[in-house]
Amino acid sequence: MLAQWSTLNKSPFDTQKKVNPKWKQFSQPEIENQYCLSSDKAEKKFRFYLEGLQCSSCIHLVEELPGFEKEIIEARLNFAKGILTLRVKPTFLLGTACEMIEQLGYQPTPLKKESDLEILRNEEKLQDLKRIGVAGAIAGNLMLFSVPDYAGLAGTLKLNFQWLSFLIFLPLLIYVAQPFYRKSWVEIKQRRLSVDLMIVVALWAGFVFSSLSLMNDYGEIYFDSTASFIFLILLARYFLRTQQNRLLQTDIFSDIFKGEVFEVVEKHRAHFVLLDKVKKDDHLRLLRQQVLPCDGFLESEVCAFDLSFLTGESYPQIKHLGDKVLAGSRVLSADAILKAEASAAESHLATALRKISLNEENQNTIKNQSDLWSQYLTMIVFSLAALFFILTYQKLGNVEAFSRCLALITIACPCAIAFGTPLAFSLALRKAARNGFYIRSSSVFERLNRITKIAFDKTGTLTSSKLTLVKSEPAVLDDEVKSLILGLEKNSFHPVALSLKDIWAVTPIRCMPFVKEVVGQGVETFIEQENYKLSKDSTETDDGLLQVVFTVNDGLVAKLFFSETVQPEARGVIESCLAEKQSVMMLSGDRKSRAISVAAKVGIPVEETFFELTAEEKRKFIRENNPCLYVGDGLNDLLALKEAYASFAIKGSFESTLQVSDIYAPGKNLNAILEILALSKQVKKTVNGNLMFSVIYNILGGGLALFGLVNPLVAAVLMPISSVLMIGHTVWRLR
Amino acid sequence: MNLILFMALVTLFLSATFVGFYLWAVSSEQFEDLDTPAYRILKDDNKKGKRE
Repeated sequence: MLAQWSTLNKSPFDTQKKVNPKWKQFSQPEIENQYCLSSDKAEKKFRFYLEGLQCSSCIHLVEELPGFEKEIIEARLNFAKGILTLRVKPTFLLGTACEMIEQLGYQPTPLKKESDLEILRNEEKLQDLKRIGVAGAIAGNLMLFSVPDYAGLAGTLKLNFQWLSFLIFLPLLIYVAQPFYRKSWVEIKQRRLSVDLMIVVALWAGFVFSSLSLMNDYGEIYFDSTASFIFLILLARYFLRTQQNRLLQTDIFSDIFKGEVFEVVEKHRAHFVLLDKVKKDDHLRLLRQQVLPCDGFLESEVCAFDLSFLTGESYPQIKHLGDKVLAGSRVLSADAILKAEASAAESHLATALRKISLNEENQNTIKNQSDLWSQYLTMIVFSLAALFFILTYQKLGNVEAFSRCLALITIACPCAIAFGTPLAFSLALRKAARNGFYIRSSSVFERLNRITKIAFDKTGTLTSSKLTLVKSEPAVLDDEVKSLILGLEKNSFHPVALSLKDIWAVTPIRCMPFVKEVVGQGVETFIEQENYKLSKDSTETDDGLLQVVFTVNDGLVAKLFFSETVQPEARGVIESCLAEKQSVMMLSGDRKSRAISVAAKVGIPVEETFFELTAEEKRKFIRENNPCLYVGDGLNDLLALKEAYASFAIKGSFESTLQVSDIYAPGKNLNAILEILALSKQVKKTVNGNLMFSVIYNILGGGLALFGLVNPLVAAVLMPISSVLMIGHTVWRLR
Repeated sequence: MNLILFMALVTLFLSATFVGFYLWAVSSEQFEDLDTPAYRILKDDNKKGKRE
């Protein structure tokens, strides 16, 4: 279409294209208001995220919008970010804009007004950029003015240049260094030492020393090196903050419902609201495939929901009038009416997600520890510098002793610990979240590196919850029976039904009206006084197979035997774990014969297979075998998951699983274990690499500084370079 | 000597001007999008279409 427009100059709008009907709701004032960035009498402003932008021609096409629609005043596209900003006349509606964009061939997502936090973060970024610019200009000019000095200039001209340097340095001291003062002050009030305090001391020591030197004509001045030091530190921090902000911008809950509108049914009318406007006692009408935004009670007679996001079980569940349905459930029936129990933010899902919110616990455990280490290092450096000055000032003279101390304070930096470690964990968390893992605390990466054993649960973890038809009685079923059974199971979502529909996919389905499903029992119908019934057989034999009987007027026609299947990837995963020299075990509540047969299939040694264990026994077993990683599902393994040194849940109820399990990966298979183990190894390598570098750098740099082999000028350049190297190394390793 | 000092002051004035420009550019968010303007200059100004 794009090519067509470019060559033939035809309208680029695909008017035949069916646009999403939901855009109509975006024209309603109460919804539009939430997306309108600025509104006055003359114009409104909207922002959209566009999917489908491919090349520079897209910019021209999208920015041509005012040419096609007079109500659009201006269209500006940020190609790198994929964000389109539209300035339109007040009469132009948001819904129309969305439809037009969709007709152009792009998928728009209207963007809401920025939150206060985002505005603040943006403002902070602008301030940082300004400070970096000013610091860079000051450092550059100071260097230029220092060149004649280094080249051996003397006399009045030298003094003039030095005074000029002094003047240029002042904005740095007053304006650029403000964030360091603020942070140090906060830390001092909390009686803590911080990296910022070191920077402030180095800055002021450099300034005071240089100023005194200038007034008393001692010779050495360090304005240029101190300014470069501050400039490079600011650059390193800006880079670090950009990385962290990217991480903090993830809001999983809002992402699930991005751009969704919900229909609220009232007595006389229905209106549409956004996620945050859904409130208690609202009657919501959800369409097929829509996800429930809040916890609620079903007001329709019966409805099927896909709870896979919440439980990890992929087959649908039937709910009846008055049943509670949790946020995150997807409607599978035609539509459903529910009464909201509370707002979306108060739902179980939102609460659970908040707990793993990256702003909270995730950052703190490791950060506190690294803060502590960087405080120790700061303390050591200050004490060493003071001691050195006291011991050597008589021998070396005040100026030289002070100069060496200044070099030491400048060069020694706890950056690896203060920046490198938290950044490594933050990046690892982001990488994990991007790959579908929900992680409760970043400390799990540390713990995963300490485990020596991996214990697997059997049912639902090593084996699939999907059933396999093993045999039937009679051994060969004729097509008539199969089509009758399929007719009964046509609308059922029970695992038996899903398995049969899968196995007999080519068999025609008999039309069976008025089929009644009794949850946990089976399905039945009456056709011309004949009773057709498919139900669970209560007289199960001891071979561990699930039996289902098909009867007509209570006369047995066929018996079906099902077994669980071992996950196809299980064997490979266990082999990889064994190759990593981990001891692998299987814990099962099942009978001995079944447990051993599954263990043999996946390659777990018989002596490491434990069976007929109750939940409590599993817990005890795990406790005795810690540090161990327990891999289970969140449905019946909560106790064991909680007890384990590190725990991994493949599936389970979202809320309860997240409360006890360190890692939760709904929708992923067992290979996820290898993935997360590899990631934690990568984190360890990165952190160790940073620490090793830091130790060598600090001992070497500090030593050289104290022996007078590195002057404050070189120290000021080396220190920020070390920070940049450290951050670069971390980002490169965990990219 | 006076000339060198004069030149130094001119330099300072120039750099202060550029810093001023930089601060203005940052404040007006000109660094927000570094890619699109480069493509935008390739646009043919005369081409205007009509919506069918």
